Amino acid sequence: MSALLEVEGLRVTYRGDPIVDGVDFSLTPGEAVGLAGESGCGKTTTALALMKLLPSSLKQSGVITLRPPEVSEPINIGKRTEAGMRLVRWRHVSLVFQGAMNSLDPVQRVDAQIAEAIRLHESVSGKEVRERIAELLATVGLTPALGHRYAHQLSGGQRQRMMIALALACRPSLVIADEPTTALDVVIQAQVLQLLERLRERLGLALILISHDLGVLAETCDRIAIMYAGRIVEIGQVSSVFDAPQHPYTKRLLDSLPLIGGRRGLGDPIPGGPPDPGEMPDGCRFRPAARTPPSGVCLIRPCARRPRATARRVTSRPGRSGRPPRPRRRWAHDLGR
Amino acid sequence: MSGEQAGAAVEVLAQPEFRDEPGTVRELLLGTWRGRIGLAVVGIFVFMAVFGKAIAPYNPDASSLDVLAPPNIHHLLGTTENGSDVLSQVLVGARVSIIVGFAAAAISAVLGSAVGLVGGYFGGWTDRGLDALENWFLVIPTLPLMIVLARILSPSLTVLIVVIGLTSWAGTGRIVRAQVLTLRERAFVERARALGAGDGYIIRKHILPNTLPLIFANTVLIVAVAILSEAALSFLGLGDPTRISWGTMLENAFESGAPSAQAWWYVIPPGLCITVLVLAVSMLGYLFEEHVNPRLRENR
Amino acid sequence: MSGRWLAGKVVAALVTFAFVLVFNFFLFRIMGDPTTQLAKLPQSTPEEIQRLRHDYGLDKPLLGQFADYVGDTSRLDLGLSQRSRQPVWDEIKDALPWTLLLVGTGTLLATLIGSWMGVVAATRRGKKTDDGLLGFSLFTYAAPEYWIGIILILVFAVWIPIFPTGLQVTPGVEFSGFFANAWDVAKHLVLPATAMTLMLLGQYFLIMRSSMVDVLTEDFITVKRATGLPWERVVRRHAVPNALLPLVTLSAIQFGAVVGGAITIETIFSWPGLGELSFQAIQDKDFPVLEGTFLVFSAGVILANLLADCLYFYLDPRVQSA
Repeated sequence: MSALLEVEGLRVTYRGDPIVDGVDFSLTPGEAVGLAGESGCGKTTTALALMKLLPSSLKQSGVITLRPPEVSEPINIGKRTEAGMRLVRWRHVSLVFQGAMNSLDPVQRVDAQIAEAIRLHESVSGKEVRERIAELLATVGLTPALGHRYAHQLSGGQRQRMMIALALACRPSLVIADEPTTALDVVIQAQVLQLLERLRERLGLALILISHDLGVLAETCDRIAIMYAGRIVEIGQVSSVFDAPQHPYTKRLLDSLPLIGGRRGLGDPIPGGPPDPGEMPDGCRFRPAARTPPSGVCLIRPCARRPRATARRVTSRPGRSGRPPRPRRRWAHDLGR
Repeated sequence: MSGEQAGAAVEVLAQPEFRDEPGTVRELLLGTWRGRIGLAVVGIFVFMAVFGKAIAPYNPDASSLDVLAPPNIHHLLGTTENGSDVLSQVLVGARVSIIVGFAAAAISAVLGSAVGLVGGYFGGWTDRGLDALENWFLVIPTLPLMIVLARILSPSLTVLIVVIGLTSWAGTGRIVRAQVLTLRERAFVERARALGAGDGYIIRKHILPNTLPLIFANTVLIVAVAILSEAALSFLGLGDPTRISWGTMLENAFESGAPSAQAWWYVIPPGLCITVLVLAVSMLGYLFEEHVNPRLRENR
Repeated sequence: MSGRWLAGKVVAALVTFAFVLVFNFFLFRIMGDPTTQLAKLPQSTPEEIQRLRHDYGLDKPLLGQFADYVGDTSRLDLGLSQRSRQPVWDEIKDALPWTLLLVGTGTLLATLIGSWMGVVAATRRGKKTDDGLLGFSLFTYAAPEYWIGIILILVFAVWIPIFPTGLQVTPGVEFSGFFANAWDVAKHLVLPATAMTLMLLGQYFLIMRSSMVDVLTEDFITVKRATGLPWERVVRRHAVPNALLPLVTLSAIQFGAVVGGAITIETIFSWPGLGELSFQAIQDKDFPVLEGTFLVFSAGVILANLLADCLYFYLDPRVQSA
């Protein structure tokens, strides 16, 4: 099965400083990939770069190829002009933001906003638009009456579903969700995640889910990529990354998650923060913060990839092949299932 | 400001948070090109205000037969309808604008801060009353109010300063009150109170230092408004009749038919001085305001 | 649909106006008993002065006088002009339409042009266009409007005599028909309205620009772009409508400045409005007229604020369902 999305060497710079520095990954149709990392590591920038929505002060380079099933020719996003991108946006790739008040225009009724998106890409009659909207709203569990409201008249969960309905309006094959559950309480969070899961199955939707919440990603995604300081430091199947993390940063992230029934007390915080894009260290970016002293490999960039039996990629680490996988940890959300 | 050292336990536990460090005003003024230009221009006008009389080539009130003459070697900016030297009048006129501008702004700052502090800190009916008063002052059109007050009293420099000061304080009051309201609920104030500090102490040592930068930035902008107000009042004939100001120059120019006589040398300089001075002061005011409220910086 | 918010604003406006009445009453009484002026007349005997005081109701207690004052004002009896001996209200009534014409034209033009400039500057933030517009607006804000008015006269009425130097109609000429008269007035309106527009332009520009810059940082703008909307439509259909809201509220604060400008500009151009009336009253120390115009100006600003609130209510759905 050919990849739905292929990203090679994506770079985003701001006045010469790298915000995203050489990101590679791919997506097969219907697959869900999570993008994890702390604030400022470049997750949202990567997402916006995929749709070429970055402000003009950010310069983007790299090859991004999209192969939606219904299109014969692959779409080379990197080479598309703004006018060309407008045909791709929403029709093949769409976006779901945090459901905060301001993801929807506050002074326009919500269904009008969905209608606007539909009309941009298809010529449909007024009646058809209304039917489509009702169908979309039903899919996400909302009534047409709710669609006639303004954004501030909806609850947080309703707003987020509305965003999802909007994202599906033109039947894209890929949806990028940027922190879709961060502003919601846990109960609504679960509902929204379940909704996304159902939609993926029904519509064969591929999903890039961005979050700093590893629990959310573990539940929903097939594969997960960990980002740090503009690079993907580890990427692989969710189970193998969580069970046997290879990169020191991943390990520290997982270590910092509190376990139910585990040791009490403050975890070991990762010192400082990610390096400033203007002052990136040479070699492995995590070296200054790593607990274990770096080996010579860490000073070379980029370091060689080590293909492993579990098809997982790890960068800038001295090889530790042959180590037995660690016993499976019990995560807090596991107990809830 | 942050020189409050942790001497007594009280100080340590009730350490307030400061947004400013000492010397930043200097940094802003001398370190940024906006600050430097603003400072230079204001400096020039202050110099004119102080030494205007001394460096003026002629006595500004002296009349001559050379009426409404265009610029020439004897009179670099021409003459007025009385034959007085325009340049001398412009130089001397700076004094009124500078004095009234700064003095009125000072009064406005003191009044506004006092009202904002008392109302914001003590709350309750005091606050509501003062707030109503403030809102009223904000709604009332200022120039008519100033006109009425100035007309009732007989015009003089002091009257101008008082009238402008009394009508411009509401803006500062509102800002100070908002700031005090947020500060009042902060942890360090509660701690200080728990340790037995009285209201006066808290206001003096904790609330006021955190509000002063805000008051300062706002007052600079009020200086600009005060200068414009003085000019307008003088233009309408309510200025100090014994003094020359740029506003009275424009009044005289207009009354004596300078436009019809195409006496541009009489009309342009005083107005230009007002404009340039107000621009420079405003520029400094916005500079300070951005420093105090960093959010403004991003959206500039 | 909740009109409660709006009703609250109406009540607040009425209360403010009540304060204005109180203030006005006391302000003009602190100058002292007006009959002391009359006492300076040579023939006044103490009995006559006493009778005058009784006629004017000045021997009543203060509260009684205030009640009289409110009663008179509600009947539009604002006293007599000291200079012309005509009812103050008549003079105000004749002057008011001219001020409305001038202020209305100036405000409308300033809002339209200033807002448009603000949108342009916000979408080209940091570039030369933005800097140029900012510089221009700061200049017009700092420059006294009467100075600009004088320069306009100098250039466009004297030096290049296109427009008249003042007044609202050509004196001594009779025009036949409505349109001819209107055209004459329009010609005379150009320069004063230009001065008024320039005075207000900077403020509306700065407000709109800052409002737009704020709106453009919101998430929903990125979402609209992501749906494939061309940037021009994102700005026009989504950014501008949201930016208008703060513009309405913030520009309401400027109404006081509008009044001030009206006074000085009308004076320059001998435009027969309330401003010119006030100016004359200042010169003549005609206190009844000053009192009357102050009342009307205050009422005007309060009313304008209320209208702005109504407009905001109409534009913002969040307030409608409050």
